[in-house]
Amino acid sequence: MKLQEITINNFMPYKGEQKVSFPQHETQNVMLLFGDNMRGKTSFLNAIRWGFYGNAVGRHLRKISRASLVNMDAAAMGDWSMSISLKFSDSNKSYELRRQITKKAHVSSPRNDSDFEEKIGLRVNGVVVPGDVIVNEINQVLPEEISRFFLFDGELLQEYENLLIEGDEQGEKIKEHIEQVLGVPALINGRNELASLLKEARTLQAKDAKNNNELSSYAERQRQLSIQFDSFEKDLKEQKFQRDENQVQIDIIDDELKNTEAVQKKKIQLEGLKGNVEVIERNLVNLADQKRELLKTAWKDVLNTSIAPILSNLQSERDNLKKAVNNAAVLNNKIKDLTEMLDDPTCVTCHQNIPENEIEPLKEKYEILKAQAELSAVNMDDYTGITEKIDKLSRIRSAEEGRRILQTLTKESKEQVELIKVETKLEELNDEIKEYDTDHIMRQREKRDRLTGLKSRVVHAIESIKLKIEKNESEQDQISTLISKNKGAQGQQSSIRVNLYQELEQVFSQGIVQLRDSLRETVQQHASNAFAELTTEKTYSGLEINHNYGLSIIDHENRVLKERSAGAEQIVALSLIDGLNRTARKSGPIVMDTPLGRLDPKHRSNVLGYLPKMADQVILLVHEGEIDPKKDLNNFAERIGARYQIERISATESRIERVSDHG
Amino acid sequence: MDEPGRIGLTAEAAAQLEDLRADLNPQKGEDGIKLINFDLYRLAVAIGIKKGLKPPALRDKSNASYRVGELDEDGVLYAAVECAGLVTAGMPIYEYIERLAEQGIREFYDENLKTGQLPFEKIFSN
Repeated sequence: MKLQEITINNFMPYKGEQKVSFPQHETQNVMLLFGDNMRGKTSFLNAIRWGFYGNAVGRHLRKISRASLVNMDAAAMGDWSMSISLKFSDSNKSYELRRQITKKAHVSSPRNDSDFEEKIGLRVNGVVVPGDVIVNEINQVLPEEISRFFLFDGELLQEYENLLIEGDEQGEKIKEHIEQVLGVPALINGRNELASLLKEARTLQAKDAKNNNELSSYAERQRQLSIQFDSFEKDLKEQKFQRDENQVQIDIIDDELKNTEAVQKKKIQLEGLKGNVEVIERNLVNLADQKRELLKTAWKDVLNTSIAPILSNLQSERDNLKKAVNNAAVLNNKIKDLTEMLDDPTCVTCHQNIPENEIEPLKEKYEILKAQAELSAVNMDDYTGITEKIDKLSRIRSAEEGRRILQTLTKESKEQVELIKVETKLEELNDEIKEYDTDHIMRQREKRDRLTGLKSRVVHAIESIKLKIEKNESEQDQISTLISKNKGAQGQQSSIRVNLYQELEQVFSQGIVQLRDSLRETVQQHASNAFAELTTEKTYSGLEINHNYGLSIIDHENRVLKERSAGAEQIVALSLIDGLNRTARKSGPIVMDTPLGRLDPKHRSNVLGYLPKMADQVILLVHEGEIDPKKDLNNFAERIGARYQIERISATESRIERVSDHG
Repeated sequence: MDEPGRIGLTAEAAAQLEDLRADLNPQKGEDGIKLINFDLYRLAVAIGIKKGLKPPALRDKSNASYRVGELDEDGVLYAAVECAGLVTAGMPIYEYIERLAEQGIREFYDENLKTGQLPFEKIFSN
């Protein structure tokens, strides 16, 4: 299939009618559409997608509403009509497809998709195709399910990584689409048809067997198994429906949540910060408590230093008094002895009278001691008074309250600074997310978790039913064989049909396995060839495909490369796309939006050299950061069939201009 | 010399002490350790003793609402003033203590108005 021309009218930023012709040349098959961000590259991709399938998607594959598809300026002037016309050729037939939406007459300001009327027209070789077969006709040329392999956003190439993750939901979806491209469903449908025919034949065989005495018990068992089988099938259908319903709901929530990922992160950060505020506030309350506790006895700490020297003086004073008291006691004893001696001047040893000349000095000594004793007299009240003061002042003990209060103040200041920081951040975050209903977002997250849990249980139930069905089928097979082998049943038409369908079903089942194996091998081969040309690491020996069509890089020693960069992922994804296009039953032009975003200059050069070989027509929607018109174009100038540029007219209007070959 | 059985503050300083206490204590509805008037009164006196201040007589009549036996249960403040030799002969020691408290509370109050807290740095830095 080759695109010839697209006519865009009032679609998103493209106001009025704008025509773009696609290159038809065999080797000059690349069309470049340059455009800065926000100018309408993705809208151009969507114009093609909407033209074919009536479906335009935004980031994260969200469907864009019809009202948002109509150019805002045109709508503001009351023109609510929009159309896309596509001219293309396939298998020597020329096609003209036109899809248009117009606001319904009774609607003043359309909001919902149902406020528009859609018209679609198709001519093949100039002959009008009836409306009811148009979709079928388009799908014959380029089925919608495989559109992801020719109309794609380069930024989303990373999703092919999911094919490497066993049991990944997105990977499963992509695998399904890949098998559609490769034509596997044809065989699967065939096998399912035969399974249904086999079921009918077994019912007839059981009916026939019922009339035979020898076989009636088998027939009854077969009947019961058949009833059981129907019940299992019904359960399976219901569970699958339930699983798909869950998945739809999960997808809707995922789409919604993906748009609010940044908000969710901020909300989580916000909750964390609120927790921090609580901790800081609690710390501040504790510090204030500590401060008050210390303040209660801080007066003692204040007095302690000034009282210490006074206390020391008092203690010395008391010591002196003590000494004086002791001294007075000694003097008094001496005075007492002398008094006794002077009162009775007889020697205590010889009992002779002491001579007068010796008594005189004793009298003098007595007088001196009396005088000293009088001087040493201590007032005991003074002593008691000092002791009392010492006792009281000794109670002034410091627990270093002052130092500890100052430490508390330092801690308080730090906590307060932290609190201000956190509150400022909180305010900023609140401002950033104030337009979002964050509670709703959080509820949606919880809902998604519940749905995922439910889905996992349903998937488990499906596996269990499948096992039961397998067992039931094997038992039915066994009974059918037993009936068929019975003399009475041999040659009966019902048994012949059962045997035939059983064998055919097996042929188809094995055929599916073989087809998948063979297709995987072919895709792997083509993808490896593409990879060899695209990668800058020439020692890699190729790519290895898994049963999900996920590709791993194999190094020079045949080991799987565990980690790969974003650029490498993109190269592998491009290789897979190429492998699929070359193996697919249908092929078409490749329209790629921002394909080189993650690549370094060498890989970019390799990709630019290889892209023209990937399809008969390659349309690249790029910005000048990806492909520098001055430098990069030289590498594949001979493959460029047309160059266009999206010009900004206003914030809401863009125009596509053809650039001359020398431009 | 006769020591008074009760001392206090002027009405103005007493109101300031109430304000201070309310400011420093946990707010209504909050739990936590609470200061009483005595805590700040004693602190003001201790600072005065440490500095060896000679405050003037109270500008107004004292609102003598504290029992000395309760305020200075062990007579520690009394002893400290007495031993520091801060009181001129004939002056009752508790009257001097009252003057110190009056001056100290007023200073606390003014500082709290200016900075939002007591002059802790000034009080506790040696």
